[in-house]
Amino acid sequence: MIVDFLSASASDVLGQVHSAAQIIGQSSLMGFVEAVPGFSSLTIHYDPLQADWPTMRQRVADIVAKAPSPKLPKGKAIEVPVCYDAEFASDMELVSRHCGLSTDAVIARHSQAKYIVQLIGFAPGFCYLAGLPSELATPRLANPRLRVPVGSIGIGQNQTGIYPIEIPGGWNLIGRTPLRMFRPDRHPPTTVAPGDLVTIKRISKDEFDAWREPA
Amino acid sequence: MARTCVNELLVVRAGLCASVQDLGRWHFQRFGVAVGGAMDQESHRIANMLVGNDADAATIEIAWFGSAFSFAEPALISITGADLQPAVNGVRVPMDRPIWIDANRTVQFQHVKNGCYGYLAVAGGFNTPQSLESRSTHVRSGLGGLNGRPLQNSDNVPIGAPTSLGRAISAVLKKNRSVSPAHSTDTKLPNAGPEHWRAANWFVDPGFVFEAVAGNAIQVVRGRHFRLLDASSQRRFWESEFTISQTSDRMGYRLDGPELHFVETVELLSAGVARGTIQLPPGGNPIALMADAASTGGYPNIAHIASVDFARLAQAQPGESIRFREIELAVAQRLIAERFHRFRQLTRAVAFRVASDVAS
Repeated sequence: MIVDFLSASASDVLGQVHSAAQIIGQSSLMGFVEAVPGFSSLTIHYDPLQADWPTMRQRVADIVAKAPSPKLPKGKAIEVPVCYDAEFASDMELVSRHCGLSTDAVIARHSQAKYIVQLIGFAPGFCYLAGLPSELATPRLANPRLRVPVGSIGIGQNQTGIYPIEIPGGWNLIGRTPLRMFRPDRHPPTTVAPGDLVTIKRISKDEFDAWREPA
Repeated sequence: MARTCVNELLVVRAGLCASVQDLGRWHFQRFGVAVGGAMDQESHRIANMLVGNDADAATIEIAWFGSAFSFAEPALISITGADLQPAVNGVRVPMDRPIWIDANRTVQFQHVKNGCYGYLAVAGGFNTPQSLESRSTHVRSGLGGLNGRPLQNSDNVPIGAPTSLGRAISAVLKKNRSVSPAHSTDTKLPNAGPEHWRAANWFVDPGFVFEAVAGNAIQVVRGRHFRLLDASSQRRFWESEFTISQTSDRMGYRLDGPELHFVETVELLSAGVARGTIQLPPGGNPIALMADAASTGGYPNIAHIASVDFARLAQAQPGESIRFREIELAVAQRLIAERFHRFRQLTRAVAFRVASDVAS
């Protein structure tokens, strides 16, 4: 079941989605399996043997209607170390050409912006960050890479994000973080959650190599 | 959590792709983690049922060909799903029934005769470490199985403790009374090899689960973006044959056929998807999302495969043609409820049969 949320502003929609996800998750709804937030929708997986579609739709509608005023969860602030060395920035030239900015200008704008985690999806721990300065928006690669290295920072249209594991991907790579974004041995397994406020700490290649994961 | 390991499976030959699977990694999709799990969960369930396991015990899914295994200790096993012509030390063994196999005999799988995915269950289940509450191997995220990868030659896969039902089935087969192939009235079963293995003289008929659908069509429920297709694309979806592409895998089956198009470009924000969602990328060839599909996707959803027919689609080989037939959501939900009712009946029938064999 997919619940669509319509609202004037993107951050209101996201607030609606996440507050609904939280309320439904805590509601001990018969047949409920899990709720998966999208950018403007909430997908609810349920067991049709315990609750059929008309029943489930009615119950979810009742719960969502009673939800208090939607707000994005008050996120934690997190500083992500990013190295923009050429070695990690395979698509920097492409981005800088597309945006008509020097490499230094791209790095300065990207690293000084404040981001908010909108969504975790696509791959384990992959976070979509809103807040990319509009002058850095760059279309996705025509031919996605078969392997994007762990920790790569990419730009896809008007979003930026961090690849938590080695997977295929079509975003323009401009840097890399040594911070692990997905750890299946922890709960929650992701380092960031929707609503978290992300800032970037620019680091050198030496600092990247010397990075030790905080305990 | 350390659990006693009572037996071990040795991977003699990994084959094309053999992996540990269960019913999937639920409750972590909001972290971007795919559900995964056995492609054909019905065959996985039957395999577990035959050795007295719970439905979510891990089995080994064998894709296409070439795998061979042996057990360190005698074991109670079952083989279901695609017919990979299983044999023990060169002698064919029957599928869809419990088999007691002696230590250090080799279970070999050859080329698939029909279907794609075979399942090997062992009493006690394959007891690899859980990651995010599941043993399912999801190769792309490196989760589950042994170190998040398919099995390799010389791997040792731990096996858990059998249930009391599993022990009872073993005991009956070891008694060699009325249950070894040599005593079976089924003349198709080989008489040779009771020193290596003994199979029950009863079996679960997979036809009981996979009832035929008229014209072999895959039943689907209309998706939310179907109405945005142009009229001739809507017609073509129901009337045409689609061929499963060679580039299909555990993530998705690409469907070659007439191209389908929307009246106008549909721009969507990523939203949740599930196994069975049929997406339509801009190229016009639909993709049926399979077990390893991501938790979210950004392409329009034109249809959803009814859960009762998912396993049938999973077992369709690349190059095979399929058709779709529309059913209402309420019908799809009634069909899956009936399917699970059959599974409960089968589980009771297995327990009853074993109890009467023990008593006789």
